[in-house]
Amino acid sequence: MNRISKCLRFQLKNMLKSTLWFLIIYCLAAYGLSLLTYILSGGEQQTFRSGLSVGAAFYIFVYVISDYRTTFNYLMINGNTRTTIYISNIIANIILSVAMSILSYLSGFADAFFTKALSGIIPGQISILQFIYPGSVGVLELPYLAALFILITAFSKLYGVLNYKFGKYFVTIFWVGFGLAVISLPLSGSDSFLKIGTIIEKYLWLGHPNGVLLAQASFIITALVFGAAAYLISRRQPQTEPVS
Amino acid sequence: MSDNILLETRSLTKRYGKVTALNNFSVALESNKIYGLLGRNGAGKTTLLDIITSRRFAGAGDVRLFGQDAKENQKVLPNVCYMPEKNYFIPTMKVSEILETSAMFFVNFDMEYADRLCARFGLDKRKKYKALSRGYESILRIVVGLASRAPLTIFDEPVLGLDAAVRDLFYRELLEDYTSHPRTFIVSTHLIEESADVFEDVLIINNGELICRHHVAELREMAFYVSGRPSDVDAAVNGLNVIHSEMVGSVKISAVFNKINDEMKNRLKTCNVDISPIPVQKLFIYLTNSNKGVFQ
Repeated sequence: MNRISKCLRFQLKNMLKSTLWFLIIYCLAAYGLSLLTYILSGGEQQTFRSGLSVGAAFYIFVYVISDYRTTFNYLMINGNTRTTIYISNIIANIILSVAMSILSYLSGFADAFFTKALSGIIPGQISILQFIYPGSVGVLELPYLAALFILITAFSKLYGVLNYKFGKYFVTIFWVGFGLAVISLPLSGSDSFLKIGTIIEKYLWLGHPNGVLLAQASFIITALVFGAAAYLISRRQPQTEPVS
Repeated sequence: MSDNILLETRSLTKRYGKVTALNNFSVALESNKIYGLLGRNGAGKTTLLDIITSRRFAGAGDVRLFGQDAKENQKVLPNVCYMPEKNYFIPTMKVSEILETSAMFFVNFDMEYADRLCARFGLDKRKKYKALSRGYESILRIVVGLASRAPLTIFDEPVLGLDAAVRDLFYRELLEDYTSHPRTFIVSTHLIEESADVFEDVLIINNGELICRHHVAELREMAFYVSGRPSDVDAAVNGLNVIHSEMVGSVKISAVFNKINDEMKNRLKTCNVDISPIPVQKLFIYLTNSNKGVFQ
């Protein structure tokens, strides 16, 4: 346990540094641009939207992938086993997900504050969750986003593990496959759209009275599957790649 | 198994596709010794070290460290500090942060000693790893490895990119710290001649197999040139393990690698030949070329 907590401490320290940089740059860009637009438009009324939850999702995806390679190798030369590193990494990723969900949730209030302060508009809808799941309680956005971010970390982890194992072959196949899927979707007719739409609807439990909670369960179960796959691949992963 | 055995590998085999990096490799190393691990490029040195430290997994065989199975063993691995040839440090970390992290993970890490080493080697702790030159990257690995004071410390090519003065400083520091804090070192290197005096035992690997394991003094005693007229040399080395022969003009030079008893010594004295020592580096070349060094 002591070893896991040491690995965790190291990972959190690294994570804090990167995340602070991301938040500073993101907030400056998001609010700064909105403010600039507001000034340039001569003070026209407008609604401020930082969209931090979307930015955080991208950040988590990129951070977890890049962090995997560097942290895995570095912690290994410090006498840690793959299992120790993996467990501490899961805990670190959960902490990152929860922290980002809190910040994203709070950013909604910051958006409302700026909108009201500068434009005089009192925003009625600050939660995107209430738009997707009408009638849901706004505070449920917190666990919903946390579960979604955990899913993203698990997916990124699996991506990172496969990237480490297969390198450019995996990256090429993944992105070419993804691109082909996106391109071929409109060509395959409206039925495909409907089928995918139905799958997403079922996965997110849209229209269900407890949809918000059930969707979180969907996210966590998928995250567990991705996480288990990543662990199975990484537990015999050789330390081969130098940090680039 | 002797109580003094710190590391034991049993029938380790590792293949990369059709290439056999380690072939049924077995060795037992004792505590509190400095071992030199020698071998040509691709001989299997790094693969062996990687498997010992669980960086890679063997196809067959096992490794026991401190009396326990070493594979992914969290109780064992913190007692091993392995400084590989490749760079596994995080480029954006400062030297001071790397040392602090090492101190967190290696319980015996001596930060004061690390500071002294940084000062002696001229390593600026404020610099980021990515700003270090090749030589200073090696110095950082040396500092971490020595200051870790891990019961088993392994250096893979520790002196890469270092000039002669710094290499000499490393060998002196290694011996000094080993004397004051006895522990086991395995040093893999290509610079055999200059490092031979540091080693107590030398292990030579060739094509994934251990072809020679001797105490350095014993190795020097066993390896010698016999030179003179071809007929005299042939008579002198008759029955001995000749690992290399060449003609220089009319003089024949044979390199012998053999334990010598009194009878052999007397015979060599009576033959009209010159006897001279073989430098360790030359011996290494002969052994890995001829593959005839097998445990005389």
